[in-house]
Formats: sequence, C-alpha cells, structure tokens
Amino acid sequence: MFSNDEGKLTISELRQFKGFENIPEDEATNIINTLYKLTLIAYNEIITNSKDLKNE
Amino acid sequence: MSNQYFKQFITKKDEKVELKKDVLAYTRVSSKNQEDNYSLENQEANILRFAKDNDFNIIDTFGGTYESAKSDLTRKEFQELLNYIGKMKKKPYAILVNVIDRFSRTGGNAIGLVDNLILEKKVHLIEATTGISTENERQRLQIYNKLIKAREENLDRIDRTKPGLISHLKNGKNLGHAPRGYDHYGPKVRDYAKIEGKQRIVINAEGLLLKKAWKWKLEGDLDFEIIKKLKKEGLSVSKQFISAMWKRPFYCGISTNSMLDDAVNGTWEPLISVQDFMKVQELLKRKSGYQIEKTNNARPLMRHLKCAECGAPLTGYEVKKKKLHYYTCQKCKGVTLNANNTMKSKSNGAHEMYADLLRNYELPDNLTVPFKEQIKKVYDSLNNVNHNSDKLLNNRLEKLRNKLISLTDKYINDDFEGDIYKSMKSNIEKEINEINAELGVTQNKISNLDLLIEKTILISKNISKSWVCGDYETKIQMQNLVFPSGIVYDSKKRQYLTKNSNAIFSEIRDVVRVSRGQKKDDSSNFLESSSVVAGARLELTTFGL
Repeated sequence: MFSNDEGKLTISELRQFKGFENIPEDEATNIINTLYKLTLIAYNEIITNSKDLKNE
Repeated sequence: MSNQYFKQFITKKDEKVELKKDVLAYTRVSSKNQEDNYSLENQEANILRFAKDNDFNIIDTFGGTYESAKSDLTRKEFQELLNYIGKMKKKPYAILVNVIDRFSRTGGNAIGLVDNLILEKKVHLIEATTGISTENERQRLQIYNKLIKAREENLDRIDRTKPGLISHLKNGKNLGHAPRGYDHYGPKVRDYAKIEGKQRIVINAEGLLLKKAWKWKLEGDLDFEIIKKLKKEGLSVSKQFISAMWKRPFYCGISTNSMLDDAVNGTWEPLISVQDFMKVQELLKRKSGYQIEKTNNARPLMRHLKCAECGAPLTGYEVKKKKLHYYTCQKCKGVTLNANNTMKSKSNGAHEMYADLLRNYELPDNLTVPFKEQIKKVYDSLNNVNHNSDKLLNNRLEKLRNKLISLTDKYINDDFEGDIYKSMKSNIEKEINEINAELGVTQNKISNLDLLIEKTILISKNISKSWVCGDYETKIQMQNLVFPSGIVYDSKKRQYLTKNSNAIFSEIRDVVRVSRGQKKDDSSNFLESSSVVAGARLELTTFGL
C-alpha cells in the first residue's frame, strides 16, 4: 500500500495550506510521506481491532 | 548309488500361472513439431501392440506431449509418472516405452533413476520395439547402454544447435520458460493459445502484483511482510520464490543465460528498472553482512536498536525458563538489556525506555489541517483498492473451492492415499478460512471517514501510547517512521541516542523542551536539521535510567 503515490497529498496541495507556502521540496516530501504512513498505520489499527472484535 | 535320489532336493521356480501384469505406459516427443507428425500415435500404437502380445495390462498412460528429456526434473508428465508410482499402493510391474531414449536422455542420472525404480519400487523398464527388459540382468545392461547413448546423442545435438541458441539469446530473446509474472508467447510454447510466430514475453496479472513486491522491497519491507501483502492481494508465493526473485536479473529486463559471455538486454518489459534492481542487491548485501535474527513478536526492537560501541544491530533471545526476553549485541561483551521491566531489575526494560522516548515525539498542531486532507485522500484511495482486493480474494476462493472438489474426486477414485488426501485437504481448507476471514474484514472496512480521521489524529498525538498498544507490525511501522535509521543504545549510560529521527517529529521534541523551560534552537526553519537536534538530545536523560 505504500508503493505508489495514489492517495498521497501532492507538494502543491501541501503548499496551499497556511504556513507551508514556501516549504522546500524535500521537506514537503518528508511531511507528505510521514502523514501518509501515519494514516495507513491508523487504518491498519482500525482493521486489526475490528478483526479482533469479530474473533471474540 | 544313483544320483536319482538327490533329484528331490533340486528346487525349481514355482511354475504358477502368471496373472496378467499391470504396467504403465509413457510416451513423449521432444518438440512441438514432432507432436503433430504422428510420432506420439506411433509410439502409443507400438506400446499397445506389445502389451497385447505379451499379455500386459496398461493401467494408465503418461506423457502424450512434448517434453525435452535433457532434464528429468523439469518434465511435468515424467514427474507425474514417478509421483504416481510412489503413491500407488500396489506397484505396477513395469513402465513401457516405445524406445529407451523416450524414457530419458540424462545418461547417468537416468541409470540411477531406473536402478532406484527396480531396487526400491520393484518396477521395471521395458522397451516395446525390442522387448528388452530390466528384469533380465543382461538386458538391463543393454538398456543402460542405450540410456548412455541417448545422452551422447543429446550432447551432439546441443553442439549442433548451440550457435543458433546463442544468436537467439544475443538478440534479446529468452530461452526456456519465462519466470512467474510473465506470459510467454512464441513458436515453442506449451499452451496452444500462446503459440505465435515470434517470441513475445508480456507482464501478466501476477506480474503487476510482483511489481508491487519489488517496490515494497525497495521501501525496506521484510520478505515475510511482502509475502503477507501479496497474499492479501490474492497472490500466494513461497519465501523461496521471493528470495530467488530478488536475485533474478530477468525482472529488470536483462538476460544472463549461462551460454552468454556477457549479459544482454532482453526484449521483454521489465518489472523494475536496472537502477532499482541494483538498489535491491545493495539491500541484500547489507543484510548478508551479519546474521539476521528471526522476527519475534515479543522483541519488536530487534535490528532497530544499534550498539553504541560497534554499530551492529542488536539481536534478541529468550530465557525460556524465566520467560524473559533480552536484546544483546553479538559482537560486544556486556551489551545486553532486558526487553521488559521485571520485579527484580531496578532499571526500566528496553520497551519501557522506548515508550518514554516516544513521549517526546508527536505531530505538531500546525500539521493537523493538511493531515486531515491527507486522511481524506487515503480514505478515497483505499476504498477503491479494497473493492479490487475483494474481487481478487473472491477469485482465489473460487479456485480453491474447485481445487477441493477435484481433490475429493481424485481421492474417491483412489488416486491418493488417505494421509496425503487429508493433508492436502487441510491445507486448502486452511487457506479458504484465511481468505474468508480476510473477506470478512474487508467487508467491514472503514466506512466512516470521521472515524479514520479521529483515530489517525489520536495516534499521531500519542505515538508512545500507540506504540505500546499496537501489534507487532504497527510497532515496526511506527519505529521506522519516527527513527528511519534505527536508534543507538548506549549500554554504559543505559540510554538511547537518537541521531537520525524523522525531521517532522524532531520539531515536537523541541516544543516539548521549550515548554519545559529549555532554550529552543534559533533555527527559523520549520523542520530543522535532525543532526542539530541530535546534539542536544544526547544530554537529555528523561528516558532510560
């Protein structure tokens, strides 16, 4: 799921937010990747919990 | 006194009335062209005639297609014949072939194989055209000579055809089967639907999934994680396959056939670029520099922690009597720490120390708005992926159900022994249950965007707690997110040294420090260099001890 850019914010989208207008490209990329991965971790957590609930 | 008296002591072989002997027939041709020129029919007709004349009962026939006999292991029908004999409760008397070279052209290997059939299974080999059989010692030698001769003929043929094959390879064509992930079209393929005038090798549906596997590998995923992810998408691969795939240049479009002196560019579409293939080789080399411990759910920090003295990753072990887990450096003496807090130990365990460390790392508030936007995008994307994933899982389920029905049919027809059937059935049922469970989960996938936003923000605001409560995979993912290069453990000070944390989380660390009355760095940059932060962090003793 981490493999493609589908579902990730783009740098230009990030730069539209207040405070991020002038953020350098490499820092923006890191922010986007981190936010993306955090979202996936949360997503997997929810899925795992719902799996556990089902098994109980 | 006449010797007539002793005649009674001469033992004669029982002259029983021989029952009709059960035999198996095997036919083959070595190329597609031969398949169409009645060669197979001729072989079958000769074998049938011979069986009839000699009162043999042909109970099953194998082959009937083209398979090259230069290797015994790669011949599907031939292997099926041998497996079938292995599984048969009552072994057949012999295998009938039209001429010996139809059986094999591997020479010495074939002799070993025939010897094994005779001695272990009591199954003979008979040549229908001459009637010679391995049951007779002298004829057995003749058969062995013929097997050697067949090998010699094969070597002569290779010498004649080799220049043509080399030229074929130099033109970027592939020899033999294309590996998993590709469909092979051309003049010499097994599948009739794929016969074409010129060779064409194209990426198939499996290939698209394997393409993802390469990317996951580049992102640092472990093989077992990749296998799991592929399975979720409906593709089962073994760890042996995946490990062999990383070392196969075919996947980056390069041919390295042993007949070539130099590697050449293939004409097929690669799954990954040459640069990425080389990066994977570097990853593999790095890992082979030291012994990789198996993953252990009780020790998520293995390999993530590095020894401050030598830089090697810490491995782990369990003292089973005490049921206690430890992390240790394989190279340095005395670098060992308990994984968890214990009643006896005054110091915190590695996990408690790690949770303390993570308390200083949270996502800053100014990222909340873009974060919510990111969550929305992932939500839309995942819903789309889930739809496709369910489709793949349902297809796989259908295939497994059919496989189970066919297996049961074969069992009823007495093709398998009970134990083999039970074991195969249990494996299929296990996989069906896993897919059903997976489908159950996917059908229950997040249907509420607000829930995803709430949960994700909560995790990002409390990384430490999420790490403590998360399962093994979550722990690993979070560790790698906050400390992509791992963290160093200083056994003398008994603390973690965090040189290379993710810059996003570093900022929070400084906010925490400012709120505690410490001076923040002058850096006006939103994400200051992590190396600057690292220098300050070494002084902190809020964790450990």
